[in-house]
Amino acid sequence: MSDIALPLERRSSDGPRQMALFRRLQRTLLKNGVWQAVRKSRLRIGLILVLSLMIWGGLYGLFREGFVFLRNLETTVPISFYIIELLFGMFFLVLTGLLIFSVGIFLHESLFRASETRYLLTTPARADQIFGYKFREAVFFSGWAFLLLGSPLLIAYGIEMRADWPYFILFLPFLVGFLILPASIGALGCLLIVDLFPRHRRLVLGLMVLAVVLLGVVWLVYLFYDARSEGLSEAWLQKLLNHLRPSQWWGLPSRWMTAGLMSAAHSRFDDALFYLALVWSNGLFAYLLAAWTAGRIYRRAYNGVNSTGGSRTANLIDKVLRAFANGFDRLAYLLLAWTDARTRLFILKDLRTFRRDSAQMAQVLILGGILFLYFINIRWLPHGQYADYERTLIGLMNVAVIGLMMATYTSRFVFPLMSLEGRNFWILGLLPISRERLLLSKFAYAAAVTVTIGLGLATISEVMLRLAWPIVAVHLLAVLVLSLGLSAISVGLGTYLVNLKETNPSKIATGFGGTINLLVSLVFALTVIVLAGVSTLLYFADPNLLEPETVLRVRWWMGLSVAVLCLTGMAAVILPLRLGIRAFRRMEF
Amino acid sequence: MSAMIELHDVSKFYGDKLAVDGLTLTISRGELFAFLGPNGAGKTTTIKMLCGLLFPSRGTIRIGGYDVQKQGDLARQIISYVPDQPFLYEKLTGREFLEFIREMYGMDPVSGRRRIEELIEVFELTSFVDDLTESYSHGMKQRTVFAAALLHQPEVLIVDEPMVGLDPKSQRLVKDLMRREVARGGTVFMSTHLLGDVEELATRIGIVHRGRLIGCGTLDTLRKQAAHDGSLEDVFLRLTAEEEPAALAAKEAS
Repeated sequence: MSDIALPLERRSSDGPRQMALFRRLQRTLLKNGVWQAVRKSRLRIGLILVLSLMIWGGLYGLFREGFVFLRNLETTVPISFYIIELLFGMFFLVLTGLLIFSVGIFLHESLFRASETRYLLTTPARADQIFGYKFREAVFFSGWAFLLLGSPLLIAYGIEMRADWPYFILFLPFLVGFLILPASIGALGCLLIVDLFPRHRRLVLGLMVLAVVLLGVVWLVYLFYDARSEGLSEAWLQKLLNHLRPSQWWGLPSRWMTAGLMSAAHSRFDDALFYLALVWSNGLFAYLLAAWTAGRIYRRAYNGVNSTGGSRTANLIDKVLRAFANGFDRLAYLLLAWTDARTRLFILKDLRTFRRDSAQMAQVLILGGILFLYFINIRWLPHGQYADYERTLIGLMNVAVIGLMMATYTSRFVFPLMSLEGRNFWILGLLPISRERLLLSKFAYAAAVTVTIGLGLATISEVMLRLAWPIVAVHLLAVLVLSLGLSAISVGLGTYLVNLKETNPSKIATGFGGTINLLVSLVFALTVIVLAGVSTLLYFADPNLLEPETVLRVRWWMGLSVAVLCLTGMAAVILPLRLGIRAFRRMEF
Repeated sequence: MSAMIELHDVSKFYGDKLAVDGLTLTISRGELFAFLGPNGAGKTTTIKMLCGLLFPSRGTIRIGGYDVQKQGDLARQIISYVPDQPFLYEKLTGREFLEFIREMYGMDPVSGRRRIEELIEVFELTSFVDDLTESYSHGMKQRTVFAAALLHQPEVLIVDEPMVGLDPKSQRLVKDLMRREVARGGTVFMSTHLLGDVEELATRIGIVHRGRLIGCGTLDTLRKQAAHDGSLEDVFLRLTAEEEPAALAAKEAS
């Protein structure tokens, strides 16, 4: 043992004291951040509040309408209670999965890659206390969107069910308590994966995500097969509801949340409190287990992650991955032959960063893969039972799904591109290439990815649905406009609202600029979808039932909506890029 | 003199690449040990193992008698690490950061705050210590990090490239402080490429090359080992070049 006398009045560091210290640190960081924002960026804070309120209000209205619809349905089909129970179950089950993965991925970055934890690990801070500190941060970042989504849903439900006032107090501890269990499972999974597979942790995570997604896809395909045999009937609805029953298994937190909230809404407060205790006790137990595990393996896992690399003999997985990556680069090089050499270099740099970012690749492959499987399976829809009009509507919905997926993708991955140049930004400023070209190369990169994936998926959907060619043309045009417009919005606003201090792309995407970008992207996507929808619906106006003058007017409106669609696309490309170029020119390095 | 830093047959692999190869070294209380080596020689890896960030693949490291791997929390109580890229919370003021460190090391509030005021004065932080650290220059950050590192009066101070980005006045300040730390019985382990500073400050010098300790002792000892009575720069180049005969031949030819 050491013979060293500890100087001053130093005491051995104990867990509760460190926990209190880290809590104080978090409070001070938050207080200073908010205070600084209030002093320096009042407009930004105001915008965030107004936009959050708008989103909250919009969601509340949507959910309220949904519950009114279900209550009205009760008069004809007396199963609305059953439907709400299953929908709540599915809502919380899906959120459980999303929270597990989002907290796990967030913690991977903050526990194993961040300079803050590298510093803390050299201090006497205990491993479980560092974990607890970063865990609270992860729950905060992953959970705020859940609260923004969950609170209007549950308030709308309570008002529609005319719940007593205790319900409106109880739903909040339900929501907050619900976050802890999936977050703890995600954290535990992250620690174990990193500890057991330090070198191939990303691959293992990718395979796990893929397995979950495949299970979901198999289940969806199974539903479609049922739809094929039954058609859209009451029996089909009953079958669908039966398929959702697993979300109500007694051992799942989705069941505890559903049963607890519905009990509270129906003033059965004994039951509600029992389920609330179940949610919290299981969540806290899972957290304790994760923190206990972190205390034992975090430092070892950190060592494992930071001791990989430098391998001279690549194994089979490495060789396959490397061959795939080289093929990807070569293909990209060939496809970009039409660009000039400097622009091509920049696009290739971003493409390489894209393929090396496993989170990005995984999300694109998963989202793209799900849509691909779904579109491929559309051909099983019984065409006899669905009129041309209904199939066209399905096609339009598919365009909407592609648009919304692309809006999410560009906001998450394209918007942070400029900010991620970060401390190397001065290099860009000094390069012998104009700033316009730099920005346009980012746009070309984003557009190349979105156009390829978007048009590819849309073409499969349209072919599988066997739609009429004018409809196919309008839908493909809409997807093209969406791809180009969303890419330009994210590149332009990403430059205009650049955040050079942040190195974590998730934080850039969920920050102020990222939120504005997402909202603008969603508004643009919805505008394009509505315009495409107008053309699509007008196509079905039957000339035999209309006056010749009206037919002419309908055709004119169709043409006008297509023209407006094109003009909207052009505006969405030109305006944000000009805004970005102007901001880029003014930037100092 | 009691041993404060002991490395016994320490090796470290990154995958199958050997970064540190059988390093054995003992540094006593009151020594300022300079750790030199070309880029990629294994200096930072050794420092990371001393701080407990990385574990040795083989061998043991003891700081103040505590095994860094088995009694890490105790070992880290008596060390301070100043990396070449200092970390500070951007949304804390310098004073808040120092308070955080005071509490992290469990120091008494009254004497701890007295010491904070002392260090603010010594490192001349008064004019900016109540501003958020995101507004600090590199030198201001480095001075704040040094103040934080010395706050709990560590037994072992580990510094990686301490002079990078510091102006001459701050460099002098840091050198004086390291001397003072050694004079009060502390141990300083310093990795640097500034050989002039090493000649000026170090009581002993270790030269690491390709993960192996190829020379260790006072400047005179190293001169004898290199059979060369020149500056530390000449000695360093000769010793590291001896490991690479081809490189040495090329150098002499030129």
